[in-house]
Amino acid sequence: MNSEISKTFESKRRTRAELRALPFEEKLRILERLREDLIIGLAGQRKRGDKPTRESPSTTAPLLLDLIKKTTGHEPRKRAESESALKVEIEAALADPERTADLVHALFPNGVPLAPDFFERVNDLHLRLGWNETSKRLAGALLDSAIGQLNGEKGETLLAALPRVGSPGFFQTLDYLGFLLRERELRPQFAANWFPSLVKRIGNDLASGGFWKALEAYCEVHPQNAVEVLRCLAATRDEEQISVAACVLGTLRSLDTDPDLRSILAATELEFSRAATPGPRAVYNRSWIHTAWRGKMEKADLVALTSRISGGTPEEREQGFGIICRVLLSPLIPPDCFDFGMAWLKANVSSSLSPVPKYHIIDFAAQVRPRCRSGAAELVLSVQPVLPEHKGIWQRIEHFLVDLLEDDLSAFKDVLVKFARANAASWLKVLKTGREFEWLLSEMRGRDVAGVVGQLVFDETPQCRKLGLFFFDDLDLAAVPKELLERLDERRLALAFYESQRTSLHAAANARFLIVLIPSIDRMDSAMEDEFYDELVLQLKNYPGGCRDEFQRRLPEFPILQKAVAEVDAYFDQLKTVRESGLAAMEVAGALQAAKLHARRFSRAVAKSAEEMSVFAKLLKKVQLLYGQQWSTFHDDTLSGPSSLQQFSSSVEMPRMEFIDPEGMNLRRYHASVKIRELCSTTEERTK
Amino acid sequence: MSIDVKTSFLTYYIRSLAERTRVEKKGTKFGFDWIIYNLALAEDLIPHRLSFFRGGADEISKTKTEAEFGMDAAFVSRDGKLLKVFVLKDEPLNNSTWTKNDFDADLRRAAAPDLEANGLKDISEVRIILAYNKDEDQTGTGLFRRHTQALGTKVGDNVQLKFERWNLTRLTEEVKEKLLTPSLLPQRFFSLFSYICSQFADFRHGSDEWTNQLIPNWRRFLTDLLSENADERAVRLLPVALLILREQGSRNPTSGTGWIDLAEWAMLSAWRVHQESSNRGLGLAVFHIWVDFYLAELERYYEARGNELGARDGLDVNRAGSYVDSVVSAVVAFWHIARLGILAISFAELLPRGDKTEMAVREQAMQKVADWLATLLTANPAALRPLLDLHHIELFLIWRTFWQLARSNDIFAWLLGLGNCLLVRRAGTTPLPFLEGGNSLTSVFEAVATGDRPPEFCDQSSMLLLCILEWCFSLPFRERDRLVELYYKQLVLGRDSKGQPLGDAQPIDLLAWVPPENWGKKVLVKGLADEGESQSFETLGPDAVQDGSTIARHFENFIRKSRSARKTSLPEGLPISVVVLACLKHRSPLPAELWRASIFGAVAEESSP
Repeated sequence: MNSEISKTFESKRRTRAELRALPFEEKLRILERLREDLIIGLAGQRKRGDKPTRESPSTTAPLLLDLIKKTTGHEPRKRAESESALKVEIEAALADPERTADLVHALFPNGVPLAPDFFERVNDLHLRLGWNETSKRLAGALLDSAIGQLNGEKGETLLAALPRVGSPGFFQTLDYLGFLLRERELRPQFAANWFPSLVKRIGNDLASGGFWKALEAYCEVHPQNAVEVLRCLAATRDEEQISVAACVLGTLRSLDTDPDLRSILAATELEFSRAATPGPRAVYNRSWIHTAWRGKMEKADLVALTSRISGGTPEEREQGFGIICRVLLSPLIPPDCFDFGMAWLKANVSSSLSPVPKYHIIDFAAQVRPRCRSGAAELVLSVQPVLPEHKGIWQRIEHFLVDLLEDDLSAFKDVLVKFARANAASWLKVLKTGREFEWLLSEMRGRDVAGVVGQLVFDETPQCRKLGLFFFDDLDLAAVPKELLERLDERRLALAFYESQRTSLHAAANARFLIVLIPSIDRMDSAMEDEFYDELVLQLKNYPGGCRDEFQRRLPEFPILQKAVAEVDAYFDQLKTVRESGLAAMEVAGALQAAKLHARRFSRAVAKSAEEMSVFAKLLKKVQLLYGQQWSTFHDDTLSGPSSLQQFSSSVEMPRMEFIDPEGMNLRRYHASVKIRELCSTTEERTK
Repeated sequence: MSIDVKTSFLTYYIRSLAERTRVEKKGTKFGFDWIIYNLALAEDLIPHRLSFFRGGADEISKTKTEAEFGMDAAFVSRDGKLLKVFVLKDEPLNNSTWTKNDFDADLRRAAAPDLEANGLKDISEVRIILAYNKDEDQTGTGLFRRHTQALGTKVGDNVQLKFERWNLTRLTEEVKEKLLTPSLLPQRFFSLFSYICSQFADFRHGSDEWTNQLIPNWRRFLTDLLSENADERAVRLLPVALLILREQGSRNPTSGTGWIDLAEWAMLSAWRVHQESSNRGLGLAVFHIWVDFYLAELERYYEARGNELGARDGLDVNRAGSYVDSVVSAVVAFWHIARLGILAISFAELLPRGDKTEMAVREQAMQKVADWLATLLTANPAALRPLLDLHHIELFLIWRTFWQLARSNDIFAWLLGLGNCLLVRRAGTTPLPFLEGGNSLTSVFEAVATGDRPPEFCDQSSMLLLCILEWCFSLPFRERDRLVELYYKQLVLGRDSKGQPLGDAQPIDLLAWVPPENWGKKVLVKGLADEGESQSFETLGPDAVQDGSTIARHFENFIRKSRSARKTSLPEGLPISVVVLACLKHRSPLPAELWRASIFGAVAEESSP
């Protein structure tokens, strides 16, 4: 007993000391909070006096209270032991607002803070309760109850603190926001500011579904209030307000509300649609997306909308493509409406569109149903060229092509060639950027695409040829259809040959491509044959590993390969003799340091690039280990077991002639370009 | 190194030595007593009597002033039974010297050693060796035979007495067999030279250690050896030192080129001594070493590797797996170009041309080197990659090698290929930078290794391009105009064949260099890049840049004015090949008169306006 008393004294002494150390303003704030707690406590006692005595929460919700205690005590999170019992306790609390209020008191024994701390603590409890609908509802009920306990102004202050909550807590809160908005009407002026502030906080994050659902629910449950909110946003200008107003208008339009409200809404809608400023007009246009997705848009509405967009300002026209695309993506859109929209898009899209509408068009094409893909392909081709730096658009193009490849190989091949001819240069640039189009390339591997790649390799335009050679290399192709080769004339063969000279290919791919050409060499003139032979020799010297391996495999089939290999063997034998003679054994002062400098720079570039390309490196924190052969981490109060360091490596054969004869290799590429120009000008002259 | 060259230069050296090493007013006189002493040590004999007091590593041994009774040096075998007594003479053995130079008296005295002395109690044989570093005649040898026979075969009752005679040939053979080590050099150089030998054996030619440690040590050694009052003996020591180095560094895989590098520094030092001395013998010795030692060795080196020079990419260096290798390969290729060029112009200026046979031999030798050079240029892309403005020296040597044989086609093909390769770099389509005007290989390495040119990198001015433009004048007009147009319009102005700018290239300022008046005295000693006068050739206006011949006229005019305003005379008594070697080693630009005189003839006096 004595020890208990002394513990209490000690605790009080410590609390007093801590209070003494606090700043004056903080002391005042605590006093305020204690006074409120006293008033609420007394009011509670009075209420309890009027009603039959209720059991205390400690007996009705022991698990819940235990978790709340752990939350307030900042104890480490652990999975709840008895989830079913906990669920029963939560359901009971949800059924009784007073119990919910008690839980709020337990969670915030010092009063509800009007700051992000409130949401963070509720979110912490939410995580302890488990990630399910019931716990989400309880979190929403706690928020609702807290707002209810605060007077109106303080409640708004608390809600206004929500955008200041950090991620992921903010998005966690959006998930249970619907509970509050269904239960409680907000002051329209406050709501008209608060909703856009949440949209602004959401930014480009994709996890915004909870918010928009909550906003729709608000409109459904409190239409009158929602109309008021809409009216507050009548002079809207900024993007967030437009988004909120469009959602509210589109949702309200789809509701079966009473005639009075409908007529008020109609007047408001008219006000938006005929506004002199672009903001409200954008609200009106975009509201149709919400209406369409709620299944309430008809063809007549779309006809009117497209005609309105067509007659709008250039900006509205550009924005209009996005609106129509999103309208058409609604699963509830009637077929006649979809067909009309599709036809309108085909008639109106063009390569001169700015990147944003292009994105919408291609995003739409990537999402349409398989039966509409051919029309979608037309749209994709119509908006070309897309510049390489618009990576978002290229990701959607990749998505579109992968889906097309999955559905219809023949259509894919057709679109691939058309797409290459429309925008090969940019596509190649994107393909050469690390990790881009990996999905498509991996899907293309093992498919019968040699023909279409061959078509590109022997194409008339240089960019298509380069693209074709890229695919030939990356897809590890070893042949193109025989009938395609037989159809080619000498000029086309020469064009592809020279293109390969000025294109950087991997060793094995280079060798495989030259082997592809061997059967057709007979059709070329003797000068070209000599050049081809020289190229075989050069590449054998250039890539004595990969190229030689490929040639070695096919040696018995082609005497020309045998001759080239024999010549290059003699070359390397002679080099060996020179090495032994010491003729080039001397060193150069400073070379060693330069080599180290270069190696360091190269290694830094590799590490940086690997980090940029690695999904894991982006997700995980990088720790530079200084000592040891194993590693472990201390996280969430736990020290992990030791893990061994793993080594992984990748190697690539460098073209040795680039270092032996950099000028010559450049001149060779220049010569190839001149030859290509000559071959092309010959055709042009013939055409004339 | 052929046996003949080795023997012959050892012979020259030993022959030039005095009997004893001593310090005189004129300088230190090296004696072969030191060689005898070291030969005895090499045979594991124990010194019994020496004619000098042994000093420290860097000191000169002090000669003893006591009477030696004919016994210049005496050594006892490890078992104490053999006493070898050396009677040394730096005179030929003949009738006139026999008595005059005390051959007979000294031999007699030496044949009667005091065997009662400490350490000689167990002696059973006394061998008297008459060693003289000159030749002999029949009378001399007869006198020796008769005299030694008369002296009998015994000392006392039991000790055998034998006589031997070591003439110059025998001495040389003994040295060649037992003493090609630093010990062969005079004692004061032993320590430094031993250190140099070990560095030569360890360091790879051209490496940082080679450049920063061995070369300064070697140059210090040369300065010490050839300091004031250096005589023929000191000069004759140079090939011997190089022979020893060759022997000591035989396991170093880069010793072939490394040895040539050291020999070149030695040759420049020797030529400097020659330039400062009026001694004819010394002059002949330097010339002899230059022709029969350095040039002969250079020729032998390339004779043995003629085929390798033509091996495709043979001079390519593949160590770093980056463009750093391209730079290193170019340096290696230019090193060989320079040596071949030196050989070629040496043949042209030094081989006799008295009659048709001599002319044919000379022509054949020149063609042989020119062919080596041509195959090197064809087989090695790095040979068309000058990196520094100073590489105009090597390019000059190529031009000169072909020009002196009137191989215009070779000059044209080479300059055309060189122009194309330079154009690639001027256009910036390879990571290799254009010519570095500051002549810093470090800057070139940095530019290649980091991808960024250091601030001090200079490619705005070039003497090399002006040199090439001037060499074009040695070609027929058509070829000249074509090359002048290519070099001026594309490389100097930085434009493509259609006249469009090559990237962000700016026109390059062309510079000529006129050496200072006394450059002939300085060129063997130091770099002259910071002396003399730079003449800037102003970029031609659009009207002047029409075709090759119009551009050529402007250059011709400039060259005429430049020559008459600042006359350059070539140093007397120095072969051109030595001058060029000096410029190479000391990193001096070449005086334009070296080619202008050949192309444009003697300077015509400008007529007064």
